[in-house]
Amino acid sequence: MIKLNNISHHIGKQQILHDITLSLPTAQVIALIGPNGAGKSTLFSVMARLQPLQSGQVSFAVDNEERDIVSCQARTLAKTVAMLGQDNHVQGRLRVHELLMFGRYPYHQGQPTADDQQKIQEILERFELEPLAERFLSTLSGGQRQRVLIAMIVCQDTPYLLLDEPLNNLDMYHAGRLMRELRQLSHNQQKTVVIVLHDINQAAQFADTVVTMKAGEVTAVGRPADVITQETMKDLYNVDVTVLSHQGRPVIVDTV
Amino acid sequence: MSLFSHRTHARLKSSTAPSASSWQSGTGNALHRRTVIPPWFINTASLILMGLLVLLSLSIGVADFSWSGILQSLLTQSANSDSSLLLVSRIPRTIAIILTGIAMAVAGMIIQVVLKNRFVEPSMVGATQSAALGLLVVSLLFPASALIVKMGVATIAAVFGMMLFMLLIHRIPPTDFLMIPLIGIVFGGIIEAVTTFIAYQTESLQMLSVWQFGDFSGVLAGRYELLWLTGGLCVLAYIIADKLTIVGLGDNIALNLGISKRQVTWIGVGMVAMMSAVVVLTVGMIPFIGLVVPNIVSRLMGDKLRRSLPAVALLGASAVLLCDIIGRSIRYPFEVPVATIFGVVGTVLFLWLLLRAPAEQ
Amino acid sequence: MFSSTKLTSTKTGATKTSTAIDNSSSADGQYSAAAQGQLAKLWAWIAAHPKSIAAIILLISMTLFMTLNVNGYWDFALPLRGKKLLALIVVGYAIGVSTLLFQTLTHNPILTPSLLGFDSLYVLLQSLLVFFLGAISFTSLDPIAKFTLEIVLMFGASLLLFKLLFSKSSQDLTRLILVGVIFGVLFRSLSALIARLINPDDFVVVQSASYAQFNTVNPQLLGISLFICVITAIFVWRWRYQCDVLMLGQAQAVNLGINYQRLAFGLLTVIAVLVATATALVGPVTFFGLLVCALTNRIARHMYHTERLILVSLVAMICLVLGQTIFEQVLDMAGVLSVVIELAGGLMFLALIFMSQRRSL
Repeated sequence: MIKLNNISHHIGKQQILHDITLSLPTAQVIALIGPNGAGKSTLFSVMARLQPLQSGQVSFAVDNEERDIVSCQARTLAKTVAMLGQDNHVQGRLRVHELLMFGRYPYHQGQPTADDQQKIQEILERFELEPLAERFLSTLSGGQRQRVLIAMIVCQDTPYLLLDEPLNNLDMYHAGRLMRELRQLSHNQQKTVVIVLHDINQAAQFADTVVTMKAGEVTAVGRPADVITQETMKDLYNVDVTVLSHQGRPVIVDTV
Repeated sequence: MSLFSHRTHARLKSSTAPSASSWQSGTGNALHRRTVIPPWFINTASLILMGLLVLLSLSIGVADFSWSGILQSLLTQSANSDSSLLLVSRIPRTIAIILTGIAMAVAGMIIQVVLKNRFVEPSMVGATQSAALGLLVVSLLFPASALIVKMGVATIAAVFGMMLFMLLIHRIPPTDFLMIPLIGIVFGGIIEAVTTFIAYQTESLQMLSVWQFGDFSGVLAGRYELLWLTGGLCVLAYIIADKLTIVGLGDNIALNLGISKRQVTWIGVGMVAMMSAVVVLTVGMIPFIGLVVPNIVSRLMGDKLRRSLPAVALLGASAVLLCDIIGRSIRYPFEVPVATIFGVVGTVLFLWLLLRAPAEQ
Repeated sequence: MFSSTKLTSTKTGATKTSTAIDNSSSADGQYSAAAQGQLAKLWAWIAAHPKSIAAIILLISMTLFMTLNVNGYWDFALPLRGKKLLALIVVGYAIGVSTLLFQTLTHNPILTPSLLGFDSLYVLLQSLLVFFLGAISFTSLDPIAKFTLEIVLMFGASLLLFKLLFSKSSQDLTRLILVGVIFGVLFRSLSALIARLINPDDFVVVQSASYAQFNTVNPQLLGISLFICVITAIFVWRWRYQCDVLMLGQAQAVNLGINYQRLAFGLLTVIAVLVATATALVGPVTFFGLLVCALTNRIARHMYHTERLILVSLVAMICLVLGQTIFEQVLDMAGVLSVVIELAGGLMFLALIFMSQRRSL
């Protein structure tokens, strides 16, 4: 369970997050949606400890132990939560498999073992990245790079994964595959995946829980069918949409 | 040897400035600037300021001097020690300072218009360094040549240097406009290193330092007259000011209005080269003026050349006067060269501008 | 197995190219084909073992440095040259490692501490100390105590500089470099000004502050410099894996469990200390660090710091030792090495900028 208590955050004089308290369930895919400027990325940064925590607490539960992001050791946290932001610039010439090996850093601290090699190989197969394994990152397309980066944080083998708009560069095939992979991770391996999404339909189709944010506050938490309705969409995005239903999940259509 | 040795000084000034296109939109935006002070006010204020500084400049010096002695000399229609000091040393020096200030400031302005970039000036496009190189070479090969010949060689060298630079930056997209001054500094530094190398090998470092290090202490009557040439060039700049402005607005606009961009660019480059060459030959390099002064004036008055050229000239002269006065008084009776003073003042000014400027993006 | 294929991937790649060349040249006749094949194999082997090759070249250079042109005066030459050699080795290590770490920390292959004014900061601190302590008490200060004081001040000042430059997320790299360069020039100008205030008519003082020179070395400083190098080497070696992770950026470093603040602080301390050491020994060298880092990145087999740290030290040492040997003993042009290095480094800088431009386009 991820516990957020009284999270407030301001940048300069602007208050971005207003006293957010939230408990997120485990072994689920949790989508975080909301309009531009709602504070999704800020919340993401705070949770992922990219920004210093200005007020409140964030903790991740592992085996009945609450790991608070402030008091827990960096190395332990690295084995607890893995995150992928939007800006990923890698300096230097690195090959794909080398990048994946970095994902194992919390475990090998710079000196990889055969065990690590094994895990990398599994992930390469699972994400269909074997043909790219020896390629340099700079020679990959945007979509290929994105898949490699996501594969890297899966290599980190953590019970919690945080992803900030990971589907941006992916075509339909790969976006769908990735979401299916994340669902597999959460249901089969009991991992908790928190994913900031721009596309509401993707959230509706693949997430188990949807969290909506607006103006620095959490407005709703629940199943997609409950949270994504015509009223909530109007309130959130100020758009009149039609909500269809497919296999128990809502589908948003913005009709002309 | 450091490429940015203090001898060639601070050259850079940057502000959180708008993109290159704003140079073109600058004329349009002039009305929207926060403080649009009418030109006559600025010019009058600058003129008065300059007048005061001139008086001050004439008064300061190591030798004994008194204004009453001048008065006496005028009344008795005869020369005395005070009047000869004034005529031989003080007045020439002050005139040299004024002319240098005007030349460097106007040259900076011209090159900014030609390159459509706010942050360049003669020492950042390789002009002054190439001139120094040319001077070194001609002094080594033909030491007895006349001043005019040396000036000619220096000018040609400066033109070549600038041409090479413009070739280098030809590929830079105009959006990354800060790249140009950066490359300019390094380019200038490279030329300087080559020059220093040659000077080192031929044991002429002392001679070189005279050109690379702006200093007015050696100015006497008969040693500075070449600077009047720059005055003439500034008048020329004023005459073609409108054409220069149009060229600065953009290639298409210039084409539309029937101005030959090539021709005007060449004239502009030639003028800057000659001005740089003359200044380097007579007093040495004083970088920074050409960058700071036009930018300050453009903040106050906008970018229309014809309107701001007099202000730029006056402010340039005043700035150099002020720094020279500081240089002469700060460690009296010794002199600190203007270039050193401007090195500090110029960079501090830049920092001030940088911190004060609101993001005009 | 997967692991074995990965470890030998570079070697199989190398032999693959050589066999390809073998096959293609078989038509030229047996003898030349074999020779070409051998050459290709040799070249591939050289490319695969950069550290060993560099170490060999360094040993040869060192031997040459110590023994060329001694003409029997072994008693005199060996201790003198030995000290100089040690100084060059120390400076090579200091500049190479500090620049490499700085590039890792700032996540950019074009930035160096010198480019951002760190070494001119050191020179300024020195000048300030002289100015405030007064010349007499300054010279009576124990050089080691003075050096330690300078290093402490340098560390504090570079922390401030670093914070100033990197506080806002500097997406605009060019602006950052420009601001850094201006700072560098400001510090240099201030140093020159202070030097002039202290010693107004000394051309030598003014000159020595800006030239890096590899000829004379203070033997007392050499001892403490060596000590510093060893200590920093220990720390840096322990941090080498964490530095690798830094290549992925700050966010991912935090993600993977690196205590970023602590590591950055530690790296910056090491950088400041090493820059101070190198500058104290030979003076400011603007582009040397950039040059050796660019070369190292070209010849290194991969980006891991385990290899690059060693390689950059070796490359830097070779540049200095071999370069000084050639210029001093073979070409009889002592003191020119710094100019040549700055020239080469300046050109390399321009090349890097152009290449990064093309990539971003």
